[in-house]
Amino acid sequence: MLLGPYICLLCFAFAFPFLSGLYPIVRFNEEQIDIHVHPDHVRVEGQYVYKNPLPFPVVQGFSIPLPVDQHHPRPVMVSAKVLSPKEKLLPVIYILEKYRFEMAFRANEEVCVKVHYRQQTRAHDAYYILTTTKPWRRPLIHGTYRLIQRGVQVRSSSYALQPHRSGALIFHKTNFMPEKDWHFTWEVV
Amino acid sequence: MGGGVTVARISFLTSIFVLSLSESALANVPPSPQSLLALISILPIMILLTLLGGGYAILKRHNQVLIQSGKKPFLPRSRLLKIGGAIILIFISIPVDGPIALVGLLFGIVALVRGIKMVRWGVHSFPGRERPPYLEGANPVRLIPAGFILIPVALFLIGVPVAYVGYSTFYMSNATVDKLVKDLVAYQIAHSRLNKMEPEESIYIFGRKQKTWELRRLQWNYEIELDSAGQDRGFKIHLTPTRFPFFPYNYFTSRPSYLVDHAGDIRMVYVHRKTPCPSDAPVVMRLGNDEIQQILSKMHQ
Repeated sequence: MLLGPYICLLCFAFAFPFLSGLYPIVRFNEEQIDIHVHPDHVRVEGQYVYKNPLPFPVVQGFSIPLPVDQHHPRPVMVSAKVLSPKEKLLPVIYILEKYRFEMAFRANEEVCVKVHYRQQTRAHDAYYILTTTKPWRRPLIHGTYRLIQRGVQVRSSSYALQPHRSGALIFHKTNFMPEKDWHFTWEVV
Repeated sequence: MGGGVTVARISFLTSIFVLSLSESALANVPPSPQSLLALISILPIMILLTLLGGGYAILKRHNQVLIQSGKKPFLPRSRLLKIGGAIILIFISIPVDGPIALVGLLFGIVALVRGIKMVRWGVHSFPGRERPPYLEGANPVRLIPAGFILIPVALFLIGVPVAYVGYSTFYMSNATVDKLVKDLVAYQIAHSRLNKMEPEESIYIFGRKQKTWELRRLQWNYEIELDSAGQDRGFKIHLTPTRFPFFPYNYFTSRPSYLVDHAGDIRMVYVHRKTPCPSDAPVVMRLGNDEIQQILSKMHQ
């Protein structure tokens, strides 16, 4: 009886959900999204905090899906970098219609990643996709979402915004598994 | 960075085989397949097809024949050693970018050899043909299709590093290209408005202001075509990507192709081969006067 090949296949089947991204290895705990709203474009800066819960090093793949439709063309200047524990640029590649990057975590390490992109808008509105935190399979422990107005005035938002002393409009969420995306509109002042 | 990009490309491309439907849909920087999967995906495919083709029994008998005749098999006899060797190779290559491509290549070659062997065994097992003793009981109906499936899969995997090594050497990330294009347009607009400069001239000055190697890399990756409208100092610039991996690997990646004009509109489409950006492509960036001034002041600092 040949056992080796079956053991190999079994090991692969066990590892597959983690390697393929179907089941995340690391945990996605926090995010802070700053969106600079200009008259004809938005500049998104997202900071995401991930933690490796395991006592050994792991590698996790990530993709950056972007809200694109006929009124919102493809974003440009898409970049990612690690902010902590040590700042470094991440090579982001565009493959199979998505921007992707990969990151190594040490045992129990927490890493903060910053993703940046710029998106032109035809109408004075934009989206930030929130509902799909679901692939992480756990709610966000904490999320902060800010709109920074640059020569515009925000007119509406699908999440209630509070003015902040910095002049930004802001909302916070804890234990957050979003049920709707963030859509907002503005007018030029 | 080139090595890292190569590895990432290899990983994502090879993962296609096993991952075409598995990735999560839209998500907020969601999990995605990783390099290691690419490295090891060929192994279960090879094992599965060898099992389906009935190849392991033949391999075992073949190795016994070799040992009896005093020859040593190419790979260690013990299957445990082979598996251990593969695992060690995988782990050695994970932390370092370069070897992962070579290990992927090696696994691809092993799978290709296995596929060819299975087809040969199948052909030699046809009824009526004289078959060597180790092919007793071999079934050509199982061996040949399994071998024929494994060969193109292995060839595809072998082709990935070959296709991407040269491509990645001078690869520029799309974000870097976007930024350079933005700076180039700002510079072009400012000079064509203020200095009545010919486009070719301002590109040259732009090259001096920028780090020269960045412009060279841009020119190596892109064909920059200037179209000056003359008296009114209007212009159009086509930046068309010229470097792609060879077919069919070019269809798994794409590069932005740009068309920019004197109004500061930057149009862009993603293309799989050298294709100029059409004039009705969506505007992905529009440079206003403030932004042009900002870029210029940064460049002159």
